Amino acid sequence: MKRRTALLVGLCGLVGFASPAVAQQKETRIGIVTLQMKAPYFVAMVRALEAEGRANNVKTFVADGNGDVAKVNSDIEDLLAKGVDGLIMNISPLEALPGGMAAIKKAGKPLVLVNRRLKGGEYDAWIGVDNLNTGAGVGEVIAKRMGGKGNLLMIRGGPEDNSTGNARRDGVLSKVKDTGIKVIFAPEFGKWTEDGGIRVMEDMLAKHKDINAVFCEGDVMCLGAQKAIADAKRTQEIQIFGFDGQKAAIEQIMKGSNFVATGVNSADAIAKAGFKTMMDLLAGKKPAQQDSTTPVQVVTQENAKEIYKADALF
Amino acid sequence: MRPEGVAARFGRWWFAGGEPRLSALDLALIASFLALLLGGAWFAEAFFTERNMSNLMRQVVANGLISLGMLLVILTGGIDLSVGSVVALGGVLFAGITDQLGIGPAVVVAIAAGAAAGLVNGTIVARFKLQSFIVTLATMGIVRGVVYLYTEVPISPSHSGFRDLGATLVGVVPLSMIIMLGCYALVWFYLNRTPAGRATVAIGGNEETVRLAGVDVQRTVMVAYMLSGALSALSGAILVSRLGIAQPSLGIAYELDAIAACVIGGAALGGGAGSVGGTLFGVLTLGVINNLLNLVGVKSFYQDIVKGTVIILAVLLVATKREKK
Repeated sequence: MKRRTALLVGLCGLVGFASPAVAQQKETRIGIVTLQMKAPYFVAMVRALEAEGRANNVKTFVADGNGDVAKVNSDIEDLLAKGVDGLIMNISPLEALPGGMAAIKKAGKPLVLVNRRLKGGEYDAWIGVDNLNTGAGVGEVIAKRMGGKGNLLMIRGGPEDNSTGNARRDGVLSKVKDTGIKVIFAPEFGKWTEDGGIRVMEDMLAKHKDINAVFCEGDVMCLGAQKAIADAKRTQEIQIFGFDGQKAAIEQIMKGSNFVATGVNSADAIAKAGFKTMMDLLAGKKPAQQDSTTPVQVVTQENAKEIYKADALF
Repeated sequence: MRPEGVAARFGRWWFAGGEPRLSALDLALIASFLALLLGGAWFAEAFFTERNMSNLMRQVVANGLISLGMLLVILTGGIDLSVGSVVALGGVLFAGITDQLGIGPAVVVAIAAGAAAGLVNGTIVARFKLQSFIVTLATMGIVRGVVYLYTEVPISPSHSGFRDLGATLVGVVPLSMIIMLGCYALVWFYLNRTPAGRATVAIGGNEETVRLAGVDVQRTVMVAYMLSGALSALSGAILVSRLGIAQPSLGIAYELDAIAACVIGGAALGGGAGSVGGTLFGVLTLGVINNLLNLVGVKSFYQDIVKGTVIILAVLLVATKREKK
């Protein structure tokens, strides 16, 4: 019994001992808030921000919501209580968090949003991908490769109000709507997973005997769709177009497979720009414009090799 | 005054189950909690600040209300896995109705919906004698489906008072904490001072005895599940008010934290043991651990490991205590 008591008391102390003691000197501290770290893109974003922190001699604290919006809110409160100098947030796929953003505003700390531009609150700067115009870039490639005719299947990520997915879809549609290409929307969402992509593609292959190309709002779903198409032995008939510039997707494009093109969404570039903006804000400099995007870039077999990074996390 | 005398009276007040004294293990639990607080204060300078304490109080309310309802169900020997989905139900209904009918009616509708879900659970478990684990596992899915049917996308009302419930402070104490403590007081009164409540505690221990004593066991059990649903829905309403937005995906896996809080507080999965005070202790322990892990800056994957370890240790201690009786 005494041993058990000591064990529990010891473990409670462990909570405090589990991390280095709080820094005493006045160094800059930035909080990084993410909704989850269970998908490669989000991990890549966080790691890139941490790397920027080290490069700039700034201490970063990562708060991972573990998929729970309430925990994200609590994380923001705790980071503010801790006294961080600023926060960089990527809580995609959440579209809004009024409570948390109001708390940051009230504390008077700068807030930089990366990747997902949140609604319902004030922020100092947003850096992300220009989903609409990059989508249009992919759309142009689609229209050209399809020769202006045929059936294009669209697999959406979901949910209905996902601004990122909607912008990408709209970008593609803007370039194919005036051609002879017929667009078929998959009724089910691909849910931004490879598994979802496989399942939706299988259903669509069974239902439609005549698909010429498929566009997925995210590469991860395309990679799944590619597998489903290969299983159905229709690889020669169907071209695949995606978005995100995921490493595996670029590999497929480089190989000259039926994966033809994807739009670039570089976590590294966004993290770099986001961190620089935060440092500017802390030095009292406001950004030239509140919302800014990374340059539009589409990956095809021509430029795949130079864009490809073998050691990329995403 | 002999220490035993003081401990005995304190123990009797603390444990609704009628434990005659505060055992050495109980003291160990309390001592550990104090060690946790002191360790936290030492390593996280922000811990004992007014702002952090206010935040902490707000943060424990969600799990606090859900755990209170879960306690009632656990006392009857059952379990309610649907609480997370009911949190979402309460949240989206509260958010969806606020703009049309105002805050008050919206809260009432949310709580009523939660109670209705609880009534379904309780009826199937009590009347049809099905295992609560299976029933609430099924309603967990059904209620979640209903939530998504109601709204596929998050709801962010424009009503100016929407965030009051979650954000208002009375002095340094959040309004939501006052509501939570009020609910705890009411449930304590129910369990300790009313025949129906005392029957609830007894049912988990020996249902047959209670039935033979003339108590309507079925109705008592149904009330326990209804209260669990109502409290979960209230928790959802307060939660979305604090966040400013109601997501249909809210509340996933919340039942686990609620069960953990009850068990840390001495509840037995199987019924017959557990107390309101103990559950409050469990809720606070989990809340403080979460808060400290964040303040100290522990990486998120380690946080899961630490929490899980603490829960196992707490369960070990509680089980040891029960063996010695």
